[in-house]
Amino acid sequence: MLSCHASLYRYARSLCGEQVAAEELLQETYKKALAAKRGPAEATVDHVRPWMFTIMRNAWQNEIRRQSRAHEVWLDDVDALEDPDSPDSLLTRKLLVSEVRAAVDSMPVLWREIIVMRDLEELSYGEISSILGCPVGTVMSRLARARSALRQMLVGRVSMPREVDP
Amino acid sequence: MIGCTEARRDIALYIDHELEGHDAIEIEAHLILCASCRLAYEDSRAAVDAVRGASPLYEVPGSCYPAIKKLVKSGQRKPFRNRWMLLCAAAALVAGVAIGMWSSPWLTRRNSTPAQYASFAAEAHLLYAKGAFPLDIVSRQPQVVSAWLRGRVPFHLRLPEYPNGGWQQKRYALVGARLVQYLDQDVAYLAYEMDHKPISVLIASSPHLIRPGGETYRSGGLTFHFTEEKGLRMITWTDRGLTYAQVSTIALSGKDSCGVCHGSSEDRPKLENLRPWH
Repeated sequence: MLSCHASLYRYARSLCGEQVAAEELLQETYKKALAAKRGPAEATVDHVRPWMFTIMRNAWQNEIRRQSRAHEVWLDDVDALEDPDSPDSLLTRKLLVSEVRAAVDSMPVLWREIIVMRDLEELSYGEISSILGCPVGTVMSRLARARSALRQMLVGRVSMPREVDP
Repeated sequence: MIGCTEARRDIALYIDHELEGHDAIEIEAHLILCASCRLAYEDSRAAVDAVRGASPLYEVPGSCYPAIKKLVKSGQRKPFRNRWMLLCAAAALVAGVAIGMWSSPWLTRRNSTPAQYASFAAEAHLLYAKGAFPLDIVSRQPQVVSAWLRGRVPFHLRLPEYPNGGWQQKRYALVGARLVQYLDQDVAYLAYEMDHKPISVLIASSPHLIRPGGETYRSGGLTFHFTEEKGLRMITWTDRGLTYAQVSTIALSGKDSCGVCHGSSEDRPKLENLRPWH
Protein backbone atom coordinates (compact mmCIF):
# COMPACT_ATOMS: atom_id res chain seq x y z
CA MET A 1 0.00 0.00 0.00
CA LEU A 2 2.85 2.36 0.87
CA SER A 3 4.65 1.72 -2.39
CA CYS A 4 1.82 3.49 -4.26
CA HIS A 5 2.12 6.72 -2.32
CA ALA A 6 4.11 8.62 -4.97
CA SER A 7 1.65 7.64 -7.71
CA LEU A 8 -1.24 8.59 -5.48
CA TYR A 9 0.30 11.93 -4.57
CA ARG A 10 0.68 12.81 -8.26
CA TYR A 11 -2.93 11.90 -8.92
CA ALA A 12 -4.01 13.92 -5.87
CA ARG A 13 -1.95 16.84 -7.15
CA SER A 14 -3.67 16.59 -10.53
CA LEU A 15 -7.09 16.62 -8.88
CA CYS A 16 -6.44 19.37 -6.35
CA GLY A 17 -4.16 21.57 -8.41
CA GLU A 18 -1.95 22.44 -5.45
CA GLN A 19 0.32 20.77 -2.91
CA VAL A 20 -1.35 21.28 0.48
CA ALA A 21 -4.77 20.08 -0.64
CA ALA A 22 -3.12 17.15 -2.43
CA GLU A 23 -1.36 16.06 0.77
CA GLU A 24 -4.64 16.27 2.69
CA LEU A 25 -6.42 14.24 0.02
CA LEU A 26 -3.63 11.66 0.09
CA GLN A 27 -3.99 11.24 3.86
CA GLU A 28 -7.75 11.03 3.60
CA THR A 29 -7.40 8.34 0.92
CA TYR A 30 -5.13 6.22 3.10
CA LYS A 31 -7.50 6.59 6.06
CA LYS A 32 -10.41 5.41 3.92
CA ALA A 33 -8.37 2.55 2.43
CA LEU A 34 -7.31 1.36 5.87
CA ALA A 35 -10.89 1.50 7.10
CA ALA A 36 -12.34 -0.19 4.01
CA LYS A 37 -14.07 -3.50 4.66
CA ARG A 38 -13.23 -4.85 1.21
CA GLY A 39 -9.79 -4.57 -0.28
CA PRO A 40 -8.49 -5.13 -3.81
CA ALA A 41 -8.72 -8.58 -5.38
CA GLU A 42 -5.00 -9.18 -4.84
CA ALA A 43 -2.34 -7.45 -2.77
CA THR A 44 -0.16 -6.56 -5.75
CA VAL A 45 0.71 -3.14 -7.13
CA ASP A 46 -1.43 -3.83 -10.21
CA HIS A 47 -4.53 -4.30 -8.05
CA VAL A 48 -3.86 -1.98 -5.10
CA ARG A 49 -3.04 1.09 -7.20
CA PRO A 50 -6.30 1.35 -9.23
CA TRP A 51 -8.27 0.46 -6.11
CA MET A 52 -6.69 3.36 -4.22
CA PHE A 53 -7.10 5.70 -7.20
CA THR A 54 -10.82 4.95 -7.06
CA ILE A 55 -10.95 5.66 -3.33
CA MET A 56 -9.07 8.90 -3.87
CA ARG A 57 -11.36 10.06 -6.65
CA ASN A 58 -14.47 9.30 -4.62
CA ALA A 59 -13.04 11.15 -1.62
CA TRP A 60 -12.18 14.12 -3.79
CA GLN A 61 -15.62 14.15 -5.43
CA ASN A 62 -17.32 14.08 -2.05
CA GLU A 63 -15.23 16.98 -0.87
CA ILE A 64 -15.97 18.95 -4.03
CA ARG A 65 -19.69 18.36 -3.59
CA ARG A 66 -19.48 19.29 0.06
CA GLN A 67 -17.75 22.54 -0.67
CA SER A 68 -19.84 23.19 -3.79
CA ARG A 69 -16.78 24.51 -5.45
CA ALA A 70 -17.58 26.14 -8.75
CA HIS A 71 -14.23 27.22 -10.05
CA GLU A 72 -13.21 23.87 -11.44
CA VAL A 73 -14.72 22.61 -14.64
CA TRP A 74 -16.98 19.66 -13.90
CA LEU A 75 -18.24 16.78 -15.98
CA ASP A 76 -21.04 18.44 -17.87
CA ASP A 77 -19.09 21.57 -18.76
CA VAL A 78 -16.13 19.95 -20.37
CA ASP A 79 -17.43 19.97 -23.95
CA ALA A 80 -17.43 23.74 -23.92
CA LEU A 81 -13.68 23.70 -23.54
CA GLU A 82 -12.91 21.18 -26.20
CA ASP A 83 -11.84 22.36 -29.57
CA PRO A 84 -10.49 19.39 -31.48
CA ASP A 85 -10.47 21.23 -34.79
CA SER A 86 -7.98 23.91 -33.82
CA PRO A 87 -4.83 24.25 -35.91
CA ASP A 88 -2.22 21.60 -35.28
CA SER A 89 1.38 22.13 -34.50
CA LEU A 90 4.30 19.88 -33.90
CA LEU A 91 6.27 19.85 -30.71
CA THR A 92 9.75 20.01 -32.09
CA ARG A 93 11.95 20.83 -29.16
CA LYS A 94 12.45 19.34 -25.78
CA LEU A 95 10.20 21.01 -23.28
CA LEU A 96 11.23 21.99 -19.84
CA VAL A 97 9.51 20.11 -17.07
CA SER A 98 8.25 23.38 -15.61
CA GLU A 99 6.61 24.29 -18.91
CA VAL A 100 4.87 20.93 -19.14
CA ARG A 101 3.77 21.16 -15.51
CA ALA A 102 2.44 24.67 -16.01
CA ALA A 103 0.52 23.54 -19.09
CA VAL A 104 -0.94 20.50 -17.32
CA ASP A 105 -1.84 22.62 -14.28
CA SER A 106 -3.71 25.09 -16.44
CA MET A 107 -5.95 22.37 -17.89
CA PRO A 108 -9.41 21.59 -16.54
CA VAL A 109 -9.27 18.95 -13.86
CA LEU A 110 -10.98 16.31 -16.02
CA TRP A 111 -8.25 16.50 -18.60
CA ARG A 112 -5.50 16.88 -16.06
CA GLU A 113 -6.44 13.71 -14.20
CA ILE A 114 -6.75 11.60 -17.34
CA ILE A 115 -3.35 12.77 -18.61
CA VAL A 116 -1.79 11.93 -15.25
CA MET A 117 -3.50 8.54 -15.04
CA ARG A 118 -2.58 7.43 -18.55
CA ASP A 119 0.62 9.23 -19.53
CA LEU A 120 2.34 9.42 -16.15
CA GLU A 121 0.93 6.53 -14.17
CA GLU A 122 0.28 4.29 -17.19
CA LEU A 123 -3.03 2.93 -16.02
CA SER A 124 -4.82 0.97 -18.71
CA TYR A 125 -7.96 2.26 -20.44
CA GLY A 126 -9.93 -0.36 -18.52
CA GLU A 127 -8.53 0.76 -15.18
CA ILE A 128 -9.19 4.41 -15.94
CA SER A 129 -12.70 3.55 -17.06
CA SER A 130 -13.31 1.78 -13.77
CA ILE A 131 -11.86 4.62 -11.68
CA LEU A 132 -13.86 7.30 -13.52
CA GLY A 133 -17.00 5.18 -13.70
CA CYS A 134 -17.47 5.79 -17.41
CA PRO A 135 -17.24 3.69 -20.60
CA VAL A 136 -13.87 3.03 -22.25
CA GLY A 137 -15.06 5.02 -25.27
CA THR A 138 -15.43 8.09 -23.08
CA VAL A 139 -11.94 7.54 -21.71
CA MET A 140 -10.59 7.40 -25.28
CA SER A 141 -12.32 10.52 -26.48
CA ARG A 142 -11.53 12.50 -23.35
CA LEU A 143 -7.88 11.47 -23.51
CA ALA A 144 -7.64 12.46 -27.17
CA ARG A 145 -9.14 15.88 -26.40
CA ALA A 146 -6.91 16.37 -23.39
CA ARG A 147 -3.81 15.56 -25.43
CA SER A 148 -4.91 17.83 -28.23
CA ALA A 149 -5.50 20.68 -25.77
CA LEU A 150 -2.19 20.02 -24.04
CA ARG A 151 -0.33 20.11 -27.32
CA GLN A 152 -1.85 23.47 -28.16
CA MET A 153 -1.02 24.84 -24.73
CA LEU A 154 2.57 23.67 -25.00
CA VAL A 155 2.93 25.18 -28.43
CA GLY A 156 1.53 28.45 -27.12
CA ARG A 157 3.88 28.51 -24.15
CA VAL A 158 7.12 27.82 -25.94
CA SER A 159 6.40 29.25 -29.41
CA MET A 160 7.50 26.09 -31.07
CA PRO A 161 8.15 26.15 -34.79
CA ARG A 162 6.03 24.00 -36.99
CA GLU A 163 7.43 21.44 -39.33
CA VAL A 164 6.00 21.72 -42.81
CA ASP A 165 5.84 18.82 -45.22
CA PRO A 166 7.74 19.60 -48.44
CA MET B 1 -8.16 -0.01 -45.57
CA ILE B 2 -9.50 2.32 -42.91
CA GLY B 3 -10.44 5.94 -43.60
CA CYS B 4 -9.46 9.17 -41.88
CA THR B 5 -12.41 9.03 -39.45
CA GLU B 6 -11.41 5.62 -38.11
CA ALA B 7 -7.73 6.53 -38.10
CA ARG B 8 -8.32 9.70 -36.05
CA ARG B 9 -10.48 7.73 -33.64
CA ASP B 10 -7.79 5.08 -33.15
CA ILE B 11 -4.68 7.27 -32.93
CA ALA B 12 -4.79 7.36 -29.12
CA LEU B 13 -5.21 3.59 -28.99
CA TYR B 14 -2.28 3.14 -31.35
CA ILE B 15 -0.03 5.44 -29.30
CA ASP B 16 -0.99 3.62 -26.11
CA HIS B 17 -0.24 0.17 -27.63
CA GLU B 18 -3.88 -0.85 -27.21
CA LEU B 19 -4.19 -1.86 -30.87
CA GLU B 20 -2.90 -5.24 -31.93
CA GLY B 21 -2.36 -7.29 -35.07
CA HIS B 22 -4.51 -6.33 -38.03
CA ASP B 23 -5.85 -3.15 -36.41
CA ALA B 24 -2.35 -1.84 -35.76
CA ILE B 25 -1.25 -2.67 -39.31
CA GLU B 26 -4.32 -0.89 -40.73
CA ILE B 27 -3.58 2.36 -38.94
CA GLU B 28 0.13 2.18 -39.74
CA ALA B 29 -0.71 1.77 -43.42
CA HIS B 30 -3.08 4.72 -43.25
CA LEU B 31 -0.51 6.92 -41.51
CA ILE B 32 2.04 6.20 -44.23
CA LEU B 33 -0.36 7.29 -46.95
CA CYS B 34 -2.24 10.15 -45.27
CA ALA B 35 -0.15 13.22 -44.43
CA SER B 36 -2.97 14.88 -42.50
CA CYS B 37 -3.54 11.92 -40.16
CA ARG B 38 0.20 11.46 -39.85
CA LEU B 39 0.50 15.05 -38.64
CA ALA B 40 -2.29 14.44 -36.11
CA TYR B 41 -0.51 11.30 -34.94
CA GLU B 42 2.85 13.07 -34.62
CA ASP B 43 1.25 15.89 -32.65
CA SER B 44 -0.43 13.49 -30.22
CA ARG B 45 2.75 11.47 -29.97
CA ALA B 46 4.72 14.64 -29.19
CA ALA B 47 2.23 15.65 -26.46
CA VAL B 48 2.49 12.21 -24.87
CA ASP B 49 6.30 12.25 -25.11
CA ALA B 50 6.42 15.73 -23.56
CA VAL B 51 4.43 14.56 -20.53
CA ARG B 52 6.34 11.30 -20.19
CA GLY B 53 9.63 13.14 -20.61
CA ALA B 54 8.63 15.42 -17.73
CA SER B 55 7.81 12.45 -15.49
CA PRO B 56 7.22 12.39 -12.57
CA LEU B 57 5.94 15.96 -13.23
CA TYR B 58 5.00 16.52 -9.59
CA GLU B 59 7.74 15.88 -7.04
CA VAL B 60 6.39 14.27 -3.90
CA PRO B 61 7.07 16.54 -0.88
CA GLY B 62 9.50 15.07 1.61
CA SER B 63 6.98 15.39 4.44
CA CYS B 64 4.48 13.25 2.62
CA TYR B 65 5.90 9.77 3.05
CA PRO B 66 6.57 9.89 6.84
CA ALA B 67 3.01 11.10 7.41
CA ILE B 68 1.52 8.33 5.31
CA LYS B 69 3.80 5.70 6.82
CA LYS B 70 2.72 6.78 10.30
CA LEU B 71 -0.90 6.63 9.24
CA VAL B 72 -0.58 3.14 7.77
CA LYS B 73 1.29 1.86 10.81
CA SER B 74 -1.27 3.26 13.21
CA GLY B 75 -4.04 1.80 11.08
CA GLN B 76 -2.48 -1.66 11.18
CA ARG B 77 -1.43 -1.66 14.85
CA LYS B 78 -3.46 -3.53 17.42
CA PRO B 79 -4.78 -1.31 20.25
CA PHE B 80 -2.84 -1.28 23.48
CA ARG B 81 -4.64 -2.44 26.58
CA ASN B 82 -3.28 0.13 28.94
CA ARG B 83 -1.05 3.12 29.28
CA TRP B 84 1.84 1.11 30.80
CA MET B 85 2.07 -1.10 27.78
CA LEU B 86 2.05 1.96 25.56
CA LEU B 87 4.90 3.53 27.55
CA CYS B 88 6.91 0.30 27.51
CA ALA B 89 6.43 -0.01 23.75
CA ALA B 90 7.48 3.61 23.24
CA ALA B 91 10.63 3.07 25.32
CA ALA B 92 11.45 -0.11 23.41
CA LEU B 93 10.92 1.70 20.15
CA VAL B 94 13.27 4.54 21.14
CA ALA B 95 15.92 2.04 22.27
CA GLY B 96 15.43 -0.02 19.13
CA VAL B 97 15.76 2.99 16.87
CA ALA B 98 18.91 4.11 18.72
CA ILE B 99 20.49 0.65 18.42
CA GLY B 100 19.37 0.39 14.83
CA MET B 101 20.90 3.79 13.99
CA TRP B 102 24.17 2.73 15.62
CA SER B 103 24.47 -0.56 13.81
CA SER B 104 22.58 -0.02 10.56
CA PRO B 105 24.67 -0.05 7.39
CA TRP B 106 22.37 2.69 6.08
CA LEU B 107 24.04 5.12 8.47
CA THR B 108 27.56 3.68 8.71
CA ARG B 109 28.01 3.47 5.00
CA ARG B 110 30.97 5.79 4.70
CA ASN B 111 33.41 2.96 5.59
CA SER B 112 31.42 0.33 3.83
CA THR B 113 32.66 -3.11 2.87
CA PRO B 114 31.17 -5.40 0.23
CA ALA B 115 29.53 -7.32 3.08
CA GLN B 116 27.80 -4.14 4.23
CA TYR B 117 26.65 -3.40 0.72
CA ALA B 118 25.17 -6.89 0.52
CA SER B 119 23.40 -6.26 3.82
CA PHE B 120 22.20 -2.89 2.52
CA ALA B 121 20.79 -4.51 -0.63
CA ALA B 122 19.04 -7.19 1.45
CA GLU B 123 17.54 -4.57 3.77
CA ALA B 124 16.27 -2.58 0.81
CA HIS B 125 14.63 -5.72 -0.57
CA LEU B 126 13.03 -6.61 2.76
CA LEU B 127 11.70 -3.07 3.20
CA TYR B 128 10.26 -3.09 -0.30
CA ALA B 129 8.68 -6.49 0.26
CA LYS B 130 7.03 -5.11 3.41
CA GLY B 131 5.66 -2.12 1.49
CA ALA B 132 7.86 0.29 3.44
CA PHE B 133 10.13 1.32 0.58
CA PRO B 134 8.03 3.38 -1.81
CA LEU B 135 8.97 3.68 -5.45
CA ASP B 136 9.54 7.08 -7.03
CA ILE B 137 8.23 5.87 -10.36
CA VAL B 138 5.84 3.02 -11.05
CA SER B 139 6.02 1.80 -14.64
CA ARG B 140 6.07 -1.47 -16.52
CA GLN B 141 7.92 0.15 -19.41
CA PRO B 142 11.72 -0.14 -19.33
CA GLN B 143 12.16 2.90 -21.56
CA VAL B 144 10.07 5.07 -19.23
CA VAL B 145 12.05 3.98 -16.17
CA SER B 146 15.33 4.42 -18.09
CA ALA B 147 14.28 7.96 -19.03
CA TRP B 148 13.37 8.71 -15.42
CA LEU B 149 16.74 7.49 -14.14
CA ARG B 150 18.64 9.54 -16.71
CA GLY B 151 20.27 12.49 -14.95
CA ARG B 152 19.28 11.17 -11.51
CA VAL B 153 22.06 8.60 -11.22
CA PRO B 154 25.72 9.24 -12.11
CA PHE B 155 25.69 6.68 -14.92
CA HIS B 156 23.69 5.92 -18.01
CA LEU B 157 21.35 2.98 -17.68
CA ARG B 158 19.20 1.51 -20.42
CA LEU B 159 16.90 -1.18 -19.14
CA PRO B 160 16.35 -3.97 -21.65
CA GLU B 161 12.95 -4.77 -23.07
CA TYR B 162 12.94 -8.46 -22.25
CA PRO B 163 12.26 -10.77 -23.96
CA ASN B 164 12.72 -9.03 -27.31
CA GLY B 165 10.49 -11.38 -29.29
CA GLY B 166 6.85 -10.37 -28.99
CA TRP B 167 5.70 -14.00 -28.99
CA GLN B 168 7.57 -14.85 -25.82
CA GLN B 169 5.73 -14.39 -22.58
CA LYS B 170 7.54 -12.44 -19.89
CA ARG B 171 8.24 -14.45 -16.79
CA TYR B 172 8.83 -11.35 -14.74
CA ALA B 173 7.78 -7.73 -15.01
CA LEU B 174 9.28 -4.40 -14.15
CA VAL B 175 7.34 -2.57 -11.43
CA GLY B 176 9.29 0.67 -11.08
CA ALA B 177 12.30 2.34 -9.56
CA ARG B 178 13.55 4.72 -6.94
CA LEU B 179 16.79 6.30 -5.84
CA VAL B 180 18.58 5.33 -2.68
CA GLN B 181 21.70 6.82 -1.11
CA TYR B 182 24.75 4.64 -0.51
CA LEU B 183 28.35 5.79 -0.01
CA ASP B 184 27.15 9.34 -0.61
CA GLN B 185 26.10 8.43 -4.11
CA ASP B 186 22.75 7.77 -5.70
CA VAL B 187 22.11 4.10 -6.33
CA ALA B 188 19.35 2.94 -8.67
CA TYR B 189 16.85 0.58 -7.07
CA LEU B 190 14.78 -1.39 -9.59
CA ALA B 191 11.74 -3.38 -8.51
CA TYR B 192 10.59 -6.39 -10.49
CA GLU B 193 7.83 -8.87 -9.83
CA MET B 194 7.45 -12.53 -10.68
CA ASP B 195 4.52 -14.66 -9.52
CA HIS B 196 3.63 -11.82 -7.11
CA LYS B 197 7.05 -12.09 -5.50
CA PRO B 198 9.36 -9.08 -5.52
CA ILE B 199 12.82 -9.10 -7.07
CA SER B 200 15.15 -6.18 -6.29
CA VAL B 201 18.09 -5.00 -8.34
CA LEU B 202 20.46 -2.35 -6.99
CA ILE B 203 22.92 -0.71 -9.34
CA ALA B 204 25.81 1.34 -7.97
CA SER B 205 28.58 3.11 -9.81
CA SER B 206 31.35 1.67 -7.62
CA PRO B 207 32.95 -1.55 -8.96
CA HIS B 208 34.33 -2.52 -5.51
CA LEU B 209 31.16 -3.65 -3.80
CA ILE B 210 31.10 -7.26 -4.94
CA ARG B 211 30.89 -9.76 -2.14
CA PRO B 212 33.21 -12.68 -2.96
CA GLY B 213 32.43 -16.23 -1.95
CA GLY B 214 29.45 -18.46 -2.47
CA GLU B 215 28.97 -20.10 -5.82
CA THR B 216 30.76 -18.32 -8.63
CA TYR B 217 29.93 -18.64 -12.32
CA ARG B 218 31.30 -16.99 -15.44
CA SER B 219 29.48 -16.18 -18.64
CA GLY B 220 30.11 -13.68 -21.41
CA GLY B 221 33.15 -12.23 -19.66
CA LEU B 222 31.17 -11.53 -16.47
CA THR B 223 31.60 -13.21 -13.09
CA PHE B 224 28.47 -13.85 -11.04
CA HIS B 225 28.60 -14.47 -7.30
CA PHE B 226 25.70 -16.34 -5.69
CA THR B 227 25.48 -15.78 -1.95
CA GLU B 228 22.89 -15.63 0.81
CA GLU B 229 22.13 -12.61 2.96
CA LYS B 230 19.47 -12.39 5.66
CA GLY B 231 17.92 -15.56 4.30
CA LEU B 232 17.65 -14.08 0.80
CA ARG B 233 19.31 -15.18 -2.42
CA MET B 234 21.73 -12.62 -3.78
CA ILE B 235 23.51 -12.48 -7.12
CA THR B 236 26.20 -9.83 -7.57
CA TRP B 237 28.33 -8.95 -10.56
CA THR B 238 30.16 -6.01 -12.08
CA ASP B 239 29.85 -4.81 -15.63
CA ARG B 240 31.47 -1.75 -17.15
CA GLY B 241 32.27 -0.14 -13.81
CA LEU B 242 28.85 -0.75 -12.25
CA THR B 243 28.01 -3.16 -9.45
CA TYR B 244 24.75 -5.06 -9.70
CA ALA B 245 23.09 -6.79 -6.76
CA GLN B 246 19.96 -8.82 -7.38
CA VAL B 247 17.99 -9.95 -4.34
CA SER B 248 15.06 -12.33 -4.20
CA THR B 249 13.58 -15.24 -2.33
CA ILE B 250 14.09 -17.61 -5.26
CA ALA B 251 15.59 -20.55 -3.40
CA LEU B 252 17.55 -22.30 -6.14
CA SER B 253 21.25 -22.80 -6.54
CA GLY B 254 23.32 -20.69 -8.93
CA LYS B 255 22.63 -21.71 -12.51
CA ASP B 256 19.13 -22.95 -11.75
CA SER B 257 18.09 -19.59 -10.30
CA CYS B 258 19.14 -17.86 -13.55
CA GLY B 259 16.89 -20.26 -15.42
CA VAL B 260 13.83 -18.99 -13.55
CA CYS B 261 13.90 -15.71 -15.45
CA HIS B 262 16.14 -16.62 -18.38
CA GLY B 263 14.81 -20.06 -19.20
CA SER B 264 13.44 -19.22 -22.63
CA SER B 265 14.83 -20.81 -25.77
CA GLU B 266 16.29 -17.42 -26.68
CA ASP B 267 18.36 -17.32 -23.49
CA ARG B 268 19.28 -20.98 -23.33
CA PRO B 269 22.68 -20.50 -25.04
CA LYS B 270 23.65 -17.90 -22.42
CA LEU B 271 22.77 -20.31 -19.62
CA GLU B 272 24.65 -23.15 -21.28
CA ASN B 273 27.72 -20.92 -21.34
CA LEU B 274 27.45 -20.29 -17.61
CA ARG B 275 30.44 -22.12 -16.14
CA PRO B 276 31.42 -22.70 -12.50
CA TRP B 277 34.48 -20.64 -11.61
CA HIS B 278 36.91 -21.46 -8.86
